[in-house]
Amino acid sequence: MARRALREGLWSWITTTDHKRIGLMYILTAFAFLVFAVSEATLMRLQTSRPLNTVLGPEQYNQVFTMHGTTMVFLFGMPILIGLGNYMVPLMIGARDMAFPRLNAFGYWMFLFGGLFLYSSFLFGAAPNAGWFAYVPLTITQYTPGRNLDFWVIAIQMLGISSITGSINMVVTALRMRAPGMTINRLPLFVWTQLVTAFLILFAIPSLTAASALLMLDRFLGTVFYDPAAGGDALLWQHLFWAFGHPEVYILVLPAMGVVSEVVPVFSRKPLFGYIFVAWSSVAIGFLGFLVWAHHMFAVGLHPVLQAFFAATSFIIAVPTSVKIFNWLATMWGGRIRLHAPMLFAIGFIGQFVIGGLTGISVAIVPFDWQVTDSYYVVAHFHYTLFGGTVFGVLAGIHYWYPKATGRMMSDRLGQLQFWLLFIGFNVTFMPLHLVGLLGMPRRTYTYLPGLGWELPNAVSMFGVLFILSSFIVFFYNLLVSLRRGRIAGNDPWDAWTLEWQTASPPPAHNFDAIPLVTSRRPLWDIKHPENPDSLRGH
Amino acid sequence: MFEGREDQTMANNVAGGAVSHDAAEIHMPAPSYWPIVVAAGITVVAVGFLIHPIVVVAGVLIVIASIIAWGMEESHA
Repeated sequence: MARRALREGLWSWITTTDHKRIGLMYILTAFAFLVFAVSEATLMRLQTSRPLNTVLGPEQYNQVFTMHGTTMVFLFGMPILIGLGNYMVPLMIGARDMAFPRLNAFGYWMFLFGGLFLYSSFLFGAAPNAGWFAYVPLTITQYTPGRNLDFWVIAIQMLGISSITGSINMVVTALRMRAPGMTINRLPLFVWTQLVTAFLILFAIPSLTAASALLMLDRFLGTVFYDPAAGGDALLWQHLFWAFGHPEVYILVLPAMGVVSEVVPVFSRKPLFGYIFVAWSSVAIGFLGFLVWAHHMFAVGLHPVLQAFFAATSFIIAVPTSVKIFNWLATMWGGRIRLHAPMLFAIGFIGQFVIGGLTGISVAIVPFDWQVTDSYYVVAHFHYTLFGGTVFGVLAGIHYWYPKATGRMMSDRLGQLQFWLLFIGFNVTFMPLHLVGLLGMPRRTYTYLPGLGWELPNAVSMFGVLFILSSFIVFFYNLLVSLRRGRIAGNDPWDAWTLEWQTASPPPAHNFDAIPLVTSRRPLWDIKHPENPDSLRGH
Repeated sequence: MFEGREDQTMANNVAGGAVSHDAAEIHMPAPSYWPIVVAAGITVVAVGFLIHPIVVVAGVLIVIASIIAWGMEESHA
């Protein structure tokens, strides 16, 4: 009987087309891959914590840093944001499901199988080993024989299929499935960022697909697209890859910004300051994100005009990003701020992302970039945007929406403990890496000699990792224990304003008994405050 | 497109700031195992690239057959 129930329960998950279940599957699978990625990062930091260390050999180290980067980008960052979007967007726009439910399920399964395919490479001792951006000519068969890069390039194609189908679904859902009255300028800001991100994926992933297809042809059929010795072009890969790779940064950041744009007003007890600017700055970031890719390539010797162009666009993209920052701060200004876990993570996002943004501007200055390119300074910079930013934003979203998905509150005390452990651990780990980068330590070197001044920053960095690990243990404990022992949440535990909080927690399969009619940007405020609705103020 | 959706099939009964339905009127998407089968077929193709071309052919056949079956399936419960 129990076995039958288990089988039927498992079968219902395998065949589900419910956006909420698919969203949860994305999120849980992404967290499973996060465990692998954090383990790999810990090994890397352990290996470099002192000179001439022997925790990992050079070949193992290559595999571990390649898999860490690939996992964080393709198997954690993208899928967890897509998972949050999958769960929340139909609820936030008053829809019963995504536009294409079976395509939605297909996207998830492609993600899972792509991830398993990639990780199965470890079983054959052939994990990818040339870095997450797989530069040619290093990655052509002549210089990297064996199956390592074959696993990588095929898995990337599989994950690309997942991302493309998910994005088509998101675009159609956000544009065609909205409740009556939910005009584009009343869309919740998380939906705005999911929509822009979906367009970014649709335009960016094909570049990676094309680059990978050419690499597959080189590796499997012996073509020479990337072999300079035979007339191929090594820089072609870099252009195609970064034409995907830089929009990818915004694919990973924009939805996290969307979470912050939802959390900050609710926990400041004020409507978002400058909704129109925050919404359309996402569009500006998305557009400009396609015009900055060659700032990853300053060291290859671009024409000075191109260097000037890509430096300028890289400065300009800071403007719409700053618009968001200032509007979040203006929203908090004068608000009655509630420092619960979601708000702490949102504030952490803002502070750390600003640091990552400022160091980003510094590496857009061409002569400075020449000094620090491929050093730990760059590693520190992008971890401030993608860890300090995206991961903190994701955690804000998990703490914020967990009650909606489970019907129970996470422990706020444990959430706050997790935040402080992660905040301290993150900064202790990555701040010293700026310094060690400026002192000349190149990234992706498995060891180094003593006496270069690199010992202390690396040792401090390893110390920070212990805090990060502790914070994730607290987080996963909180996730599990709150499922049973968490306080019953009710429909609207945060006294929020968007439609997902109108329905039950967890929501029924059909989301809403009655499709809401929307008359303002804060539809739930209007229902709760009929004497003072936003619609009278023309929002 | 930007003025919000006015779905005539939905707008049966507008009252109290919401469009309500009888429970029997709500048709949710049916469960389907074809999405995982298509994804599995593509994975067979991927494995075939590493093993043998015949496995690629088998994977392609699985993908084609399951997409056809997907297309012929009733999409609502």
